[in-house]
Order: sequence, then structure tokens, then C-alpha cells
Amino acid sequence: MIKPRRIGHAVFETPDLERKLAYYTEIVGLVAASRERDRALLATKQGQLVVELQRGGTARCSKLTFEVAPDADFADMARALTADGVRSEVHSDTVPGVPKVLAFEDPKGTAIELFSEWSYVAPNQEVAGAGPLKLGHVAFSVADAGKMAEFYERVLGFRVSDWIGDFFVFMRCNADHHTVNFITGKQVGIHHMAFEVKDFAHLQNACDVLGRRNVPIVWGPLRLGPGHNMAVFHRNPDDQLIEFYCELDQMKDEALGYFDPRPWHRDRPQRPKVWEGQTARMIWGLPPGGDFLRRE
Amino acid sequence: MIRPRRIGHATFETTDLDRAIDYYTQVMGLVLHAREKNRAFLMSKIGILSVELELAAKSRLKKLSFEVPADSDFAGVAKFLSGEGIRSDLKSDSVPGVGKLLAFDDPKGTTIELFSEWSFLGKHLQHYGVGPLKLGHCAYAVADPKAVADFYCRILGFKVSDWIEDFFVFLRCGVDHHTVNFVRGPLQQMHHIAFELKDFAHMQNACELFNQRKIEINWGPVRHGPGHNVAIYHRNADDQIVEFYIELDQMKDEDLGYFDPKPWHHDQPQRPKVWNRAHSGNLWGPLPMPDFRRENDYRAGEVQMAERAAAAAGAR
Repeated sequence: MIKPRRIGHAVFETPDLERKLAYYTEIVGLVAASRERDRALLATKQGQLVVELQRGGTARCSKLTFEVAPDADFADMARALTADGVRSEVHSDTVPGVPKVLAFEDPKGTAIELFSEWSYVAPNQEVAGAGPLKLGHVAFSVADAGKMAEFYERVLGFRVSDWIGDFFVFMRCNADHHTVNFITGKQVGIHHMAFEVKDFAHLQNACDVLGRRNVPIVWGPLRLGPGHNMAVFHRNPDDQLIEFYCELDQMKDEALGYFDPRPWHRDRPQRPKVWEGQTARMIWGLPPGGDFLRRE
Repeated sequence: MIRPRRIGHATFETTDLDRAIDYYTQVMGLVLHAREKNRAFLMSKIGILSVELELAAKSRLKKLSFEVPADSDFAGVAKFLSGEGIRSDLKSDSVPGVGKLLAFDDPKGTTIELFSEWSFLGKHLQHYGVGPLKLGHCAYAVADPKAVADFYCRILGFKVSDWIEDFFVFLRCGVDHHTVNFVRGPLQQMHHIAFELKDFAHMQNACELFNQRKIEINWGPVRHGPGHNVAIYHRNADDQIVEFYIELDQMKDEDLGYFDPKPWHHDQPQRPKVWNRAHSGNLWGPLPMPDFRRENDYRAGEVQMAERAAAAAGAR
């Protein structure tokens, strides 16, 4: 079976590449590792590629990449996909440091690329803005979250970490509580993208960066229910929701099957489950503002 | 093979049970679950059993417990151990909240207890002192760290996360960079025990508390090389070194084989390796105080053993 182990980077099409580039370098705190006329690659302060921007007609997330094990056989993976009715192709040198990817589409039309070889695209350096440690997860609004979860589970080996009712599913591909999540909604497209910060002090710094730049915080700071992460949400210049988070639940051992116990857990131990009621949204903090909910 | 997945609790023998309980509840910030005449159980504020104390003639680490998966076959494990020449005993109800456990000794004489069934002993507990989130790892000084590491890898399925030259090895049984570590030392005894704090703000609170209680921080805050944890060390009421740490390296996927990248890593990506002594102690921060090195300085150890031998000769 194909088994992604880590999210690599997200590719966004944007009508205004310059504005988006300024946002990611000055507010999010990424590094412009390379810049072409219609494309830019953005890395964390460690130098890992996390966002690729492409000039396009409408703002959308067009692709996600995932790292597979070093010994993953691309021909085997292509065969497994064919058996699942998914057409795939091997592409070369799509981004610097990645010689080969296996490309296919998930059921909602997002391109997925699997890679095993990669390299850092920038040196370890200081950054302006919030300066997150990594790309953590990407959430999509889809017509049927259950169907999407079934595909990611069966074809890509993701595990369900939590459900909210029957409409919001959180899925993991490593110790992190979720790397992709799907919410059933009217519009199909990205719901939000999340970057990890070091701790609550770093999250506060991120709030202050947003405050200085007059970017409204549309939800948080709060402690979410599923995943128990501390989170702050804002909207980027393409009106996409961006989350900064810390303290996400960790499934340290799949055979034990519970998340590393934390004082803020209400279940003991905290296992994957279906959440209902008020805590499904948050453990503490205010409910989201209208500007957060507008596209749900 | 047996595969422990999480460290459970540590059992200490202590010469002064009341003093030790006072330390663990007032300074460490654990919560007393049960107290018998010669025994006490302490849990974290989350309600997980973390430390067991027993009154004895000498202060020492006696046991470590580890959780194994729910479907573990204890009879099969006992047979496997027996095949390796290791005697084990199946016990019941010797620890609160834990059903049966399988006990055996590791090569340095520490009792290892494996359990699969356990329960929380309390919920959302208030505490005094520091209040760590969990017991993280236990380091032990041994004559031959390679031999002990081989035992932990071969018998218990641990994996080597890092070596410092050939004298200090860090072993993981899960995502955390190390759960046990072994350093070559003149005295075969516990080197330190470590508890995880939430973040650097939590660690600063611990430093302020030590100052109020006039407890010396004998190393740190420092960011280590292997594991990259930020750490502070002090000595407890039994003169054992206790570490509080945050930001320990995480091997989020064994097949990828590198630790989750962080800005403070010098290797890109950071994989298990052999560190040289000069760069391994700390990436930043002060050097340890002499009080930290007392037992582990080889010459100090020799002096200590000579003194003990002289005292023993005098007693005869």
C-alpha cells in the first residue's frame, strides 16, 4: 500500500503573485527560496519547501505533496493506484531537490505528488513575520467528507483521528493528530491551511505580527476540540483561512492507540472518537466570528 | 520480540520516605495517590502513575515499567525471555490501576515491568511545585553502555537515536528521541531521571520555584546536542539528579528515519548519528556545575570508591 509519511508542500494558484509573495514573506514569515516570472517557492526558516505559488486565473490550492519511505517503489505504487482505478504518472524535477514524483489526482481534483528524495531549498536563516516551524495540515471543504476519508484511508493509508458528527474528519499519516482534514460543505476548495509554531509564546508573537499589520484574527486564540491544538486563524490576501497552531495531539504509538496524555484532555486516555456538542468545536476560547464561518 | 511503547513509572528506594514524598509533592509537583507505611505512589497532574517510593536502607532506582500493546501475549513474552536466558515472573495487582505485569531484570539489575492494562488514578489534579506533564526518560551509568544498549535493542526492540562517541547512548521506544540512555561511568547507578514540561515558559516557572526553595540548578537552561531538548537539572532529596526538559526531538516516522526538522538543528535533516564529545553537551548554554558531575567524573568516582573502601575497612 502507498503510505505518505509527511506533508511536503502545498501549491497555490493566485491572480496576484506579488501580493501573495509579500504576504508569505512578511507576515507568515517564510523565505522566498526562488522566484521566476510566474512561480515562487517558499521555505520555512529551516529551509524546507512548504508553499509554491503559481500565477493563475483564480485563487485555489491545486496540489499537495507527500513524502513516502526512502525504499518506496514508484512502479509498485503506480500499480497499486491503477488497481484502485487511479491513473498516475511519473514526473521529473518538478521542484529543486526532488528528482522524481508520482503524480495523480484525488477524488476532489487536487493533484497529489509523492516523493522520496528531497533536499532543503534554502539555508537555515532568520525571517520576518511569524516564522512557523513547518506546514502542518491542509483542510478541504468537499461535497462528502465520508467519501474523501474513505479514499485517503483505503488508497493512501491515512488513519482517522477524529470525526465531528458526520461532517468533519481529521486524518493522520504520522504521529501528528491530523495532516489532512475534510469538512462537508457547499463549496469545494481549501478550507484552511495550518502552520505549526513552537509554543504559546510563539503563537502570541504571531498574533502581534498580525496586529501590527492590521490583519484581523477571525478565530482564536483558543484550544480546539479534536487535536487539542491551540490555534489562531486569519485570512490571507486571497481570502483563504490560515491557521497558526501549537500543542497538537500526538499519537506516539499506533499500537497503543491513544494520544499522548495532556492535562487538557477530557477523555482518559484520549482516543480517536466522534465528537458532538460544544467541545466538538473547542475546549476553551470564544466561538468563531462571522468572517471565519462565511464560507462553511 | 517484546516492544515496550511508553515508559510507565519509576520505582525508587529511599532512606527517608517522608522527605522524598515532601520533595515529589512540594517541589516536583506530583500528586500523592496512596501512602502505606513503607510505600507511596505519586501521579502526574494528569493522573498517570509516575513514581513509586519504597522505604529502604539505601536510595536507588529499583524498577522501571513500560507499557506494551493491549494484545501482548504475556506467556509468549515469558517464553521468549526464557529462551534468552532471562527469568521472568508474572505478578498481579502490585501497582494501583495496573492489572498483571511481567517482571524481569535487565543486565544492570534494574527490574523491568511490562504491563498492558492500566488506568488513570485521578483527573485534572491541582498540584504544588513544577507539575511536569510526564515521566520522559531515565539515564543510567554503566560499565559498558554498548552491552546494555545491545540488550535493550535485541530483547526489548529499542532503537539507537544517537551516540556520543562510544560512551553515551540514547535509545527510543517510540517517537521521543530517548526513553532510556546509558553513559559509561565508574559507579553503576542511575545517572538522572527526566520529566517533560510543556514549554519554555513552564521551564522558567520551574527555575523561579527552585530559586524560592533555594534549590541549586546545577546545569542549564541549556539546549543539548543529542535530542536537542532544552534542559535544567537539579538534585532531589535523595541526591539524585533530576532533569526537566522541553522540545525533545521527535522521530515522527520510523521509515523516514529523521527527526522532525527544527530551526536549531545543524544537520539537514537530523538523523541518528555519532556525536563527538566537543559538540554534544550543549548547542548553547552554560557548562555543568561541579555538583552535576560529582559521580560521573571518573576521578571523583575513584576517590569516592577509595573513601568507601577505607570506611568499610575502618568499620571492620
